[in-house]
Amino acid sequence: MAAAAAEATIDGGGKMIILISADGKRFEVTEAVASQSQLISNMIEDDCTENGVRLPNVDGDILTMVVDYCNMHAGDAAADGDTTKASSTEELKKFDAELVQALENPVLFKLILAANFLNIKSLLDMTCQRVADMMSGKTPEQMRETFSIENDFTPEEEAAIRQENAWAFDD
Amino acid sequence: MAVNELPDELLESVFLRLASPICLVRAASTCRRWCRVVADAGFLRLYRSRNALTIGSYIATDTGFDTNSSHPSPSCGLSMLAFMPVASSPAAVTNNSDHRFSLDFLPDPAGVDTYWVLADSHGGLLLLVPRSCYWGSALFSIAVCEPLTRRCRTVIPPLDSVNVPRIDAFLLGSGGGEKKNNNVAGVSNFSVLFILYDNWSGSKTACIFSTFTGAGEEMRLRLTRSMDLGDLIRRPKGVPRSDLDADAMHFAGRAGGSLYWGTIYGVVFALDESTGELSPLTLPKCTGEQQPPFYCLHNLRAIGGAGDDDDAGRARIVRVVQHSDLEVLTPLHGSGGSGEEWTVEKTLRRPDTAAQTNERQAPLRPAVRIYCTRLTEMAVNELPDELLESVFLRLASPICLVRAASTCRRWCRVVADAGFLRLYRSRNALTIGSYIATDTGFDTNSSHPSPSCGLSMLAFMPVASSPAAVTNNSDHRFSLDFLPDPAGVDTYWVLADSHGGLLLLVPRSCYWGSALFSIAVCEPLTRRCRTVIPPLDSVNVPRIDAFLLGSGGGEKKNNNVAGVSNFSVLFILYDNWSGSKTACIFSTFTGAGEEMRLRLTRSMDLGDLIRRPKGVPRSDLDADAMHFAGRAGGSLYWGTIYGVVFALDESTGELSPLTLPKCTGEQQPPFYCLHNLRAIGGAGDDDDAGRARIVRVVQHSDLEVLTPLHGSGGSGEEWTVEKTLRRPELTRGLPGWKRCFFETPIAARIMAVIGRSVVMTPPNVTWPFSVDLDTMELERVYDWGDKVVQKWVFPVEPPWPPALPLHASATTDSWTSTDASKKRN
Repeated sequence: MAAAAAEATIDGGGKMIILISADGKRFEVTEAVASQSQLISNMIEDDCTENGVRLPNVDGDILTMVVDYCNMHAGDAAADGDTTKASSTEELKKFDAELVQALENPVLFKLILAANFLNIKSLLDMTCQRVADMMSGKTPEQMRETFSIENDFTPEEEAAIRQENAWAFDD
Repeated sequence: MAVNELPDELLESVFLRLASPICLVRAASTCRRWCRVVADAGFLRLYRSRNALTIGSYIATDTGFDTNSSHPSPSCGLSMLAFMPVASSPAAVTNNSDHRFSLDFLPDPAGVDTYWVLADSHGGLLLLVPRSCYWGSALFSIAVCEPLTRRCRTVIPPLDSVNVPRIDAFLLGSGGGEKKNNNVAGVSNFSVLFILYDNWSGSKTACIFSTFTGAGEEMRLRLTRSMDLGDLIRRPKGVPRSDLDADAMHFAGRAGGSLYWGTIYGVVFALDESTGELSPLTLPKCTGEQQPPFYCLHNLRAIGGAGDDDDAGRARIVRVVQHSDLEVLTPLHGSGGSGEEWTVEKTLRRPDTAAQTNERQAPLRPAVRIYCTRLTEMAVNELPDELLESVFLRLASPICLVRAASTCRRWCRVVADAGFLRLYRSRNALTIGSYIATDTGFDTNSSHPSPSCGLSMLAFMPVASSPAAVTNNSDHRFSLDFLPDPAGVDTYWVLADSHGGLLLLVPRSCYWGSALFSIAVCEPLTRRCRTVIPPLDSVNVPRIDAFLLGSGGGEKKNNNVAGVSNFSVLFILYDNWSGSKTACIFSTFTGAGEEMRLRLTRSMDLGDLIRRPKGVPRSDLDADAMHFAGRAGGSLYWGTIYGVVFALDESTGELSPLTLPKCTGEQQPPFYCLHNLRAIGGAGDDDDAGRARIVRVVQHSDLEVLTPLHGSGGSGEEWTVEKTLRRPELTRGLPGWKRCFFETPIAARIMAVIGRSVVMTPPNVTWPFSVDLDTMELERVYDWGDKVVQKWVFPVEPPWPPALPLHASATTDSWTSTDASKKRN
């Protein structure tokens, strides 16, 4: 599939694929861009993308981000050793860093769902890492606050966890 | 030196760089001198030429119907006028913007049932006309006001026509073609442009009125220029008459000091605000389009220039051609003056292919922030278990993981899952820090704690990625006050070894040849300790080396990290009477009465490995023939003075000799001792970190780094020289080097291994230098001194799996099954 995607970009864009979000927004992307999603890549192989790919559990707003991400990253998968792409690696890193920094709770979770559903490994890695980073260094109380989690332990249970794993807690 | 010691011209240089005129005026108000410098007409002219005077924008909200217009509609009232300062301006102007924009200083317009509406704004001035003037009232007054100064003037424009069916009013910048000085227009010094539409005659006239001071010092307006627009908007021959003829011209916007209009007959014309000249533009032909083009509100606009100050003064025209392409036009030579040709600067082809075009050229960086709008809420717990696992797997520290597990039941269940914990362990280092033991023993060249390594100076150092939790009360954790005293008089615990988070303690007396002694295994992180008596056969044990083994010591192959009731220890027993050396592995089991006990699981005679080969003369050192060389990559290594290096695999308990490459030009077999052989952890990333390397000094001075040929380092595998550091004379460049250091036959010896560096010294002086095994770089070590103190660093892992109440049954099973198997045995 990677070879086919590379061909498509070389001969000037190749086939376009329409992605349709849950709320009916349409996105036209090249095969090379779309096939970063393993899901869509498989659909391209099976030739079932003619009438557009409906993504019933991805919002338009989220799909906008996913398409932007894929557009930015279309180069690194397809064209290895291309000097123009190499020069934009910095740019790409900056883009990723800014994207991930800008993500806040609900968007971030939806993006994880979308990346998982579309099976885009690098995006899933990045978003999961972001959530993990948001947890790191926090106490359980801070984690509950950050993620609006209800503490449903009984006081006894919670005390037991803290006592049994005292090495992980401050008290 | 005070700022006022700067000469005037340098002060000017400073003031010229004030981005906001607000700052400039504030500066001028600080002292007389600054005021004088700023007030200088030449300076102000210069300042104006170099700086934008814009301090913000009026924002008018227009509720009029025709939102496609480029001009305020007759419904653009004043009640919703607001001021937005530019980013570079101090907040001064907005602080009491309510006050500034109450516009309560405005007089009411003449006439009944009318009110002021906004017709135009330029600079800081607002041009207001009465609502009624749009209804065809012939006689009306206009108002020009400046909210920043709360000044207002009303004046009646002397219009000729009695009946004015429709009017467009504009406030002109820079004198409206009459005054050429640099003064910005003010409420008593302005020009207005009226476009008068006479629907009866069909004529359209542009009239410019400017202020003058009339009789009695009264400000009045006089007509300074009147232009018939008929020629510009006449229907060309051959073009059919349209219903829209009456509406044939539309205002296209203000840009670069001109006002622009387009006509439905394909003409675009401009009025230069400073000269008052009207002139048609020479635009490039629209390709493949109806000729002449039909310009209306929807396909033509004038817009300010791009980028920096030079360009900002230039106008651009955008037009939609071919019904979809957007063309940006600029004057060919930049001036945009009358009669100049315009050219297409760029074209945006069919907006629906825009995304594709962008992607192939330079990808436009999407504005990230815009995303985060209009999204419904979603909580983290709407993520399915497998995605939560994906997140948790990326928590670098097990401390974070356990804290996450303690936030709520669901997270606890996900983390406690045995499969998840196995996966987590395979992907993440469990190391949360290191124990640092301070050894005051004499033989600091050893690779093993000496019998003098007491517990009083044990410390814990967390790794960088771990939260501070463990250290916060490290005093408490490392007081080790939970340890029982060792059996016997005049003895105390010393540290024999450490692995994972466990410490192996032996009584000091065991080093003195006591046959019966108990050992202790303790876990400071959980403040747990177990003492047990190893069932040693020999009544008399002259010397013992004790090691705590990782991963089950060859018996248990499960993934559980050793704990205080689940560990294996290795004893190397040296019997000085018989000369025999034996390796014994003891593992825990639960004996009668649920008591934890040790049993011998493996006993190996080391005689074959350390036997003196034929032809090698007997040495005084035969009794000391083997030395521990270190722990690396899951094995323990020893070297012998007869040239054998052997390893014990911690997980299988297998002992095997290594096949090392021959030492060139050296006595054969090599004489391995504490000073020329060490085992050390692999370089680099996780894959390699599990590999052992061996460093040895050959030719009395070269340092060789050896690795297993195929990476596994398994029994019988050949090792190969990975790299060699030739003769420490390379240390010549280091400070304090002396030739005599390396003139002895044995020119270098190993003192210690610290991380991935080997510390070496010439033998007859203490002049330590380190060799980084990854980079082979040399560095002088200064803080070694003559110390007889060594610090031992042992990585610490927390008890695993963590004790979570909602443990999935699988884990419990694995625990109980090992217990059960122990019981069976």
